[in-house]
Amino acid sequence: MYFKLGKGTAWLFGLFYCLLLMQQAHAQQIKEVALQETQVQFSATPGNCIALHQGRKCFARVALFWQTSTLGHFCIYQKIQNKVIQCWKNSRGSTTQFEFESSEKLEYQLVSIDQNRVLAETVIEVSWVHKATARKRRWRLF
Amino acid sequence: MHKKILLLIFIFFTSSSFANEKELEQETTVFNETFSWQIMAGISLHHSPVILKDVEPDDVKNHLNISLLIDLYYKGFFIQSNHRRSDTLLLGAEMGYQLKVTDDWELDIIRKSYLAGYDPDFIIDISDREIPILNGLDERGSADGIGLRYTRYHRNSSLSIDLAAMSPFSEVNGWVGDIYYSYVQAYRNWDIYWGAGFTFYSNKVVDYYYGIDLDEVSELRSYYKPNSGFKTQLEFFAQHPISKSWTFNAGVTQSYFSKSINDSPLIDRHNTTQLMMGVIYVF
Repeated sequence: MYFKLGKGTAWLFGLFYCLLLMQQAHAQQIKEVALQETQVQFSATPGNCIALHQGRKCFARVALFWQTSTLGHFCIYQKIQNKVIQCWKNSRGSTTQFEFESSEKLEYQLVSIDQNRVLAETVIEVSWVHKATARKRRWRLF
Repeated sequence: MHKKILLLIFIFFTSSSFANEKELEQETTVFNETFSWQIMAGISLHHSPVILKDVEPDDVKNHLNISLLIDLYYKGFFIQSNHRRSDTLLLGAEMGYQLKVTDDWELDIIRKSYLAGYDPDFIIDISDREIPILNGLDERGSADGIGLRYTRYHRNSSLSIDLAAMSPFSEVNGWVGDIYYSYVQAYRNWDIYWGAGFTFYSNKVVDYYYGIDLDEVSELRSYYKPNSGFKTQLEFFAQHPISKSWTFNAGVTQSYFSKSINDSPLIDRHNTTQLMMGVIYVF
């Protein structure tokens, strides 16, 4: 009984050890991905588009900058509409400019086509000076 | 046990204060039918020639305008400032009550100043030059009127018609009729306003401001009793956001005056071009 229990404990110990090794390997993998991700830069300038009134479309000439540590095939997508802004082959970074036009914030994703995964996200917020109001009063200048 | 009670009290108070903050925020900042307010501050440079003879606003402060613009709405009652600019609190602000508001039109009781007054002695005192035409002239108070305003809205345009009696709030008897049309055009983040105005002054109003009474007659000022008159205006105004709190504003107004005003011995400009450029801070 004692031997049997000891054998069982040994199996359990072995299983636990294997799981520990697997967990360590997985953690290492996560760490590497995280390291890769920290080496990705993706930003929008300006990051905030300001309209005069709430609910109105905001217009801005926006620049999206991205940089990675490895060469590859990358694309920038507008998140909700899944619309391609621009793609690059055999590149590790670039800047693209486009006309932003929206009444609400829009998110953009930098996607690695080779790895088929999203590397980073950035957002262009939309804010306004005047809150929406039902009052439509106009004023004379002089 | 005491710790648990203290913890419960803490959670209760923190959650209730958060709820209060949310409620306050909605009550005070969101425009609704019950109560709303807005405060803005503006600073602008303007070129605004005076139609009075020999009066030249040559001092820097005459070209600088600093305003505090306060709007309050409570159950149909309102105090609203001129969001374009305001020379004085009274001239810029309108007080009133909304008799009827629909999506397409609005009828208000309105109380506002339709014409600025002037004190000849004060103008002479602050001026660097002699202004003999104003010597001995009586002071003119502002034309504060009460009346009705009908406003019609159509897509990007609005047309408002004021009909206001000047007494009993001012020394001026008579009445003023004012029509103002405004069209707004959006171009990217710009709001561009085109405006046209026509203001009719009854003969008592024109006489009070531009007439010469017998006791005011001098070598330079002959007796003048005018009829009713009018002013027409064309206007351009543009506004652009700078940040979440600041806007840039600029505009120009061209004004033409009727013969009854132009023929006054006190007047030497038959039309004026006024310019303004400035910034507004929205609190």
